[in-house]
Amino acid sequence: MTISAPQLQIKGAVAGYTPAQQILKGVDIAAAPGKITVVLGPNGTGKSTLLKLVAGFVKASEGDVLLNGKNLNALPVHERLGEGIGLLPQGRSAFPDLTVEENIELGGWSLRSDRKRLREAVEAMFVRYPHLEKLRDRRAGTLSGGQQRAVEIARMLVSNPSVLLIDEPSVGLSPIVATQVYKELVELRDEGRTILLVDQDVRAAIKISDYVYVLTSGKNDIQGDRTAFEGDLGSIVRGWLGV
Amino acid sequence: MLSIFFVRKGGAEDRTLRLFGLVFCVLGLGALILYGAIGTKQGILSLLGTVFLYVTLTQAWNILGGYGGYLNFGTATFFGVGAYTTAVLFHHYGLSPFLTAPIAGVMAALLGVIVGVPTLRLRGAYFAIVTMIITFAVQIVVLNASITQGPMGIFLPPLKLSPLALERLFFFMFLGLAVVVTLLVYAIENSNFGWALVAVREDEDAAEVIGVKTTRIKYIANAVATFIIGIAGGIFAQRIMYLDPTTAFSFDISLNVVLMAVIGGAGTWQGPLIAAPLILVVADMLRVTFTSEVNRVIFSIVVIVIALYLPHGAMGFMTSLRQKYFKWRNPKTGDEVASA
Repeated sequence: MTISAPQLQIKGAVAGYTPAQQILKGVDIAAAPGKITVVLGPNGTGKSTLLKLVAGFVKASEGDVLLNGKNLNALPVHERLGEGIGLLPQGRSAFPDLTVEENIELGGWSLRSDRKRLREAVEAMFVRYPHLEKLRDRRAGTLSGGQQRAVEIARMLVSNPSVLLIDEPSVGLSPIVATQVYKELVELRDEGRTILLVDQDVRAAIKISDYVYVLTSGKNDIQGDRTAFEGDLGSIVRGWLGV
Repeated sequence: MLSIFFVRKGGAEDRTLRLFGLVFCVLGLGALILYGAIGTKQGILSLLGTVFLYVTLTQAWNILGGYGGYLNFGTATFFGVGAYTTAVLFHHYGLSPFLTAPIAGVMAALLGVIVGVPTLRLRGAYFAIVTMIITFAVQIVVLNASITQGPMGIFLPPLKLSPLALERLFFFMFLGLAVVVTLLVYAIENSNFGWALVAVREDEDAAEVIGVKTTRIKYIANAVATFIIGIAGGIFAQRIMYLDPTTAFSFDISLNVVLMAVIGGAGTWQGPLIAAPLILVVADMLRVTFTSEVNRVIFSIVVIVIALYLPHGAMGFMTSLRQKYFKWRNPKTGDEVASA
């Protein structure tokens, strides 16, 4: 499958946390609109750094990040979010001492000048996730891992981003809850959102993917559509482990 | 009656509680004004003046420390800079500290910005330690500078008022400052700016993810807080009439402010109103009964107990009481709110 008119493009990205130690060493990724693009690879290969690069937490020393053709390199984090990017970070990120409602409301930070629109967006999240309605006034820190993940997803969606950067969504969740999270990602894709998913759960990620990239040592290794990977998971993982 | 200390937001029940709280605050303020006007006990007026000074300092600390979660042990730095600004301006140019107090605020804020740029990149214990070190560094500079007269300090001539009238004057000055700063902190708590600070406190990285400009928010909070602390220090110089580096940059000031915020409940505008009088009055009583060293031991034990059993301070305790005994219904769902 060739990717036509990608919404999000990373071209020749070189980036890291110190100039002397680059994690990404010339990565090219293209995420097509309304598709799930999965990035796989062994630990330390730069998958999370890639998402941080797109979101603006890490700067590229070389290469470009393009969204609908617009170069985002010079934009700070909050302006990139304003361009329609949403990020679901790895691990717990719900504000623990704030209620579910307050968490979701803060997700609509970019809408804060329009209180009415913000309230509508928050209420829309409770309609979308009715199980959160009863937890509206509960502190997020008192919720289960799955419930917290739902809060984080709702918080990400309240500003209605078109491109979602998802980092290891199933980490720390039970298999049943993880399945629900992946199902939700498919629904988000079916709504027309572009998803760039970074994951260690190779099987689950490939199952919902439209296109897959494998990174090794901060560089592109292999890529292809889902069918090219579905039958060969074992050899991919063995390749990472070097056995 | 103490309902205002319980409320953040909610339905009709909360609005009623809020109204009771407002009435309580207005009555309390009225009683203080009345006592300030007709009270004749110099010691009590002086103690209350100090209470208002500490309410001001703790509220200012609260902006970045309480709402933003940046544990700051450097209040004395900006307090001392404010105090020395008015003292030096009086000593060299004859300007009254009452007129130059805003300049003291600006100088303290300026230092706050200069110091804040590198230090606000640090988090947790690292930030706390650095703020403490900066106090000692600035104190050493002041000790060795000729403009501040080094260890000799600066005398400010007393105002031509009777001792009682002097206490009354500073009572009202610090009361006014405490009221204005408390209203400001209340406004911040209910503003987008306050929400951004809370997001920084809860999880700074997650706050960035939702689009909060965390660096800018922290710088603004720091500048506002240090400006207020500087003004308070500027007025304080005139009150004590003699300023030396040990008094102006005393670590006790920083420690007391943190103590009051933690005991009252950091990140709430009500916390300093509860803790400042409580701690200062109890400390005064303990000082009379025991030596100052024993007084410190007792306070240390109190802090340990609070850290163990009331991690959110007096306000956290009162909020848990409210959730237990004053359950209210969610206005949208009609459900009784579950205690968190």
